[in-house]
Amino acid sequence: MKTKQDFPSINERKAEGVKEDGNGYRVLIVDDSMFVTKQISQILTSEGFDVVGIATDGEEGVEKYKELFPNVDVVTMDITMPKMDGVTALEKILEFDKEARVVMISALGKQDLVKKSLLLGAKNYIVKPLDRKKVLERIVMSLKQ
Amino acid sequence: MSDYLDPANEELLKDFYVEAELQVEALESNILVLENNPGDSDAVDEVFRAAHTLKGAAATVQMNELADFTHLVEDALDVIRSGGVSLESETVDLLLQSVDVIKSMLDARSRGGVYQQNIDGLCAELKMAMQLAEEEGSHEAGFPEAADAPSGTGIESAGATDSDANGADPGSGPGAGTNAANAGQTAAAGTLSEYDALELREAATAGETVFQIDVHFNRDNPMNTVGGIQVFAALKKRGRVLRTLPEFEALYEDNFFPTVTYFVASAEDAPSLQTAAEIPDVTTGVSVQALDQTGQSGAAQTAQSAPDTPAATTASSAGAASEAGPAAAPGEPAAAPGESPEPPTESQSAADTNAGPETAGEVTRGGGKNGTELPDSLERKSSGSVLRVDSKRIDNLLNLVSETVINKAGFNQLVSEFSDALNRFDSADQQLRETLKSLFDSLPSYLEQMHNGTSVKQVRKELLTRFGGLYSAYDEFESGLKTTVTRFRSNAQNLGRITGELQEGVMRIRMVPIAQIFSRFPRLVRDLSRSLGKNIDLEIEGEETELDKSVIEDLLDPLIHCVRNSIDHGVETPSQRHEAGKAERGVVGLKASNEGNMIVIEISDDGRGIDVEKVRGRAIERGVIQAGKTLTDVEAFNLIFEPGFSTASAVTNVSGRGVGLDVVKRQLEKLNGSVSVWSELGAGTRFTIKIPLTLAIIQGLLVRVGKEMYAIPITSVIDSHRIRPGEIKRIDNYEVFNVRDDVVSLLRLNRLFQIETDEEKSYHYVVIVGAGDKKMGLVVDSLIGEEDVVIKPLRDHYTNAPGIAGANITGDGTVCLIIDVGQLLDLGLKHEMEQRKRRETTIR
Repeated sequence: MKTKQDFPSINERKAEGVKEDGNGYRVLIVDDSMFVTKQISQILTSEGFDVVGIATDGEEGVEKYKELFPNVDVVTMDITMPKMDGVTALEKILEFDKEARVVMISALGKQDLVKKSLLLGAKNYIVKPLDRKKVLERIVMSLKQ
Repeated sequence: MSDYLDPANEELLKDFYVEAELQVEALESNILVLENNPGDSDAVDEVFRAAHTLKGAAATVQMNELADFTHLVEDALDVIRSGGVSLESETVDLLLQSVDVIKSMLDARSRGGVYQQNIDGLCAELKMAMQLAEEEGSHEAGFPEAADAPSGTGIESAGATDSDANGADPGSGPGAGTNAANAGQTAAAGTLSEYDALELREAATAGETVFQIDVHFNRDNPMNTVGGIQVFAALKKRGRVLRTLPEFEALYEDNFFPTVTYFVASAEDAPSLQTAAEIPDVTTGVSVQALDQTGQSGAAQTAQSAPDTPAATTASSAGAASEAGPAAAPGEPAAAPGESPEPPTESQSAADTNAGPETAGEVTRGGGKNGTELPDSLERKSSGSVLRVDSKRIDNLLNLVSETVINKAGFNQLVSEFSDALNRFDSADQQLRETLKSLFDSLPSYLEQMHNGTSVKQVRKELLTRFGGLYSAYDEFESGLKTTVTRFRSNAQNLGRITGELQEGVMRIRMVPIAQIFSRFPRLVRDLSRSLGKNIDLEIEGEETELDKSVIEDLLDPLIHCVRNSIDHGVETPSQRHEAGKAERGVVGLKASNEGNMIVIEISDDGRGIDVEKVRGRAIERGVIQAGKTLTDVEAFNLIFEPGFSTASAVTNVSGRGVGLDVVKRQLEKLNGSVSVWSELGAGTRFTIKIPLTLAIIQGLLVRVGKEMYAIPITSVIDSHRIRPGEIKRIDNYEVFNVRDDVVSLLRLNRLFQIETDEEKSYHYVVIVGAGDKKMGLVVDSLIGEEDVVIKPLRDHYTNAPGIAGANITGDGTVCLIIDVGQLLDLGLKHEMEQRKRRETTIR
């Protein structure tokens, strides 16, 4: 398995003078809704993030993460998805890489699952409907942690 | 959940079970002390401490059901304690029942499961008891209307105000509402009781500080109910979240709390924790304070960020300051769903409306677990192998080991001294030979001289001068050797002493005080005598007597049998005792003492005693003995150990089914022990149990069969005889032998173990052995003597060798097998029968 040491950490990137909000951070988007995926993708790419992968269910998300690892800095994870839900996918990803940064995307009314995810180790959460400012703020926050 | 020590750690679990056992024992024994002496404040403290320790330990290994239940018991105890109320026997029953549940929970866990039974009833009863105790406390303090009293003296002040608020609530149902009040009381709104604070402080390990972190949340966040958990998750990365107010479970529910207090043990400083807890959009203010030594929120390490809303400030002070009661609560908009004051069947809603959200968590404490619980991987191996040893004993062993090292150095020295002596011997020998050679060489010339007329005297004189040194040739060697041998002897003696002490020291490591099992009896006697309507005191003596751990574990059942027997059949009911002119309270005694390398345990009672005639009659009726047989009283008493024997006319559920005493006897024989009974009609009965101190070392009689050596446990040996072949008689295919008036059947070990030996000798040796009621003579070639035999278990396919209990290595390194007498008796009879049949058919 490749190790993370082969790649510069977030802090090292900062030291290289990369703009803090955005540039170059690699994002994997896991969401069954094309619409949401597009939204996130647009918001992030407009700020210089690099969307390196898109998965449409939990299973695929976990596979993609393993495939891309360690070339992913942050994952956005929908909670309700076919095949494997986001919480389970989160668990699997954390099992594989406990340093993984995962931000949950949730609709209102899924508070319990959000709580569960946070306890499991999700870095943050974003509530749908998505708000450009919130999305950026939460993802950047998760990168700083 | 917070980061605990790895709950699947085997070592941790082992330690936990040992600890838990001790605490449960402490709980039980002290509750019993309290029953007899309700004012004993030491016992109260001890019970309390035990419950608390147990709770903490259970939480560490994530046995939540145990932690929750113990917590409830602890709360009950707290109320009882602070109420200063004397314990009614119902309360004691309730507490004992709770201890039983705790035991079952531990038991279930130890077998890898989780206690499944419903304990809601017991929980409710405990809560009721708390309520009663509280009311009583208030009554005693002079407030007839406890519920309406503005404050209850004798109850923690914050709690009293709380209960006041609840009691005044018209919507509260009498049962559930009061329960809620109680639960809320033990740790009132955001306030730490002295006890809770102590608990939190204790939780900090070296290098950690316990912080109280008050976090105010933004109500406008669309997912405002998630914040409590989000901060929890953030904080747990920086330290261990010990506790939250409201309780974690309440945070997990879909409720919004404007303020949540976290108690975190962390090695980081206050500002760093504050940064961790501040989440934009989610929190509006965070204040971090270190809990100082007194457990109150100290100002020593304060980092306060301005809270956004005044309401939050109010909540904060309510959470932090101990004097703040629920006064702040009405001002708090409780966003909880169960806002309506009725019906308060869920204790949660009652507390929410009355005391503000801070108490809500308290109320649900003891309630369920939640979905994020870690996987239950708590399977454990047996904890039975854990031994607590006084460190002095280990020190003693170390001492002895260092002595052996010194002793060994002494032997090294001796080795070189011996080789010196050998060298000296060689040179002396060399010299001697040379001198002798020259002597012989010169002899002819001397003879010639004598022949030539030199006088004999002259020659002799010359010889003496030349060869007189021969006499003292070995002198130097001899004196050197003598010193060396003396030193060798004393060194060897020392070694003998040290190994002896070492052996004893190692055995002593396995020794545990018999108090470990005696301590279970007060409860047993209490429960049993109550169920039988008898008044019985238990007197325990010699509980510090020690014996081997493996023995002690197998001793419990026989002892319980005997004590039950004494209580059930021995001690009479109070009225019977009154008629008999005895004190109404019966006494059952449990006494242990040392007698040589045996332990003697006596179970005595001052009850009705055993009627010898009745025993004889029953024995004849049951066919145990023949009608004409004369028996001494002692022999007759011991008939009660026969299978199927009971003189109790009615079978009770305690004992009297005639199974029991024979089982006792069998079990004790397994331990190489014995049991006997003595009784005086009308005055009482005494069981005497004798067991060896340890099973690992026994006294053995070494015998020789052919070239093999066997050890027979001396406890089974009755006597030994030297007989002539002619004394062996045959009765009905058995070889037998007359010992005084008794006829003993014989078993030839050489035939049994198929060892070639000369059977046609002028003398045979017979060792008479007995186990239980059976007796048999073992024919061997010779007796070697008695020796301490260290039993080494046989492995693998040897383990099934019938008649062999183990092996022993003798002083000269040869292996000798240890005979299992009990097995041999069963085996021998069968074997001899078959052998003889075969021999007889071949003869014909």
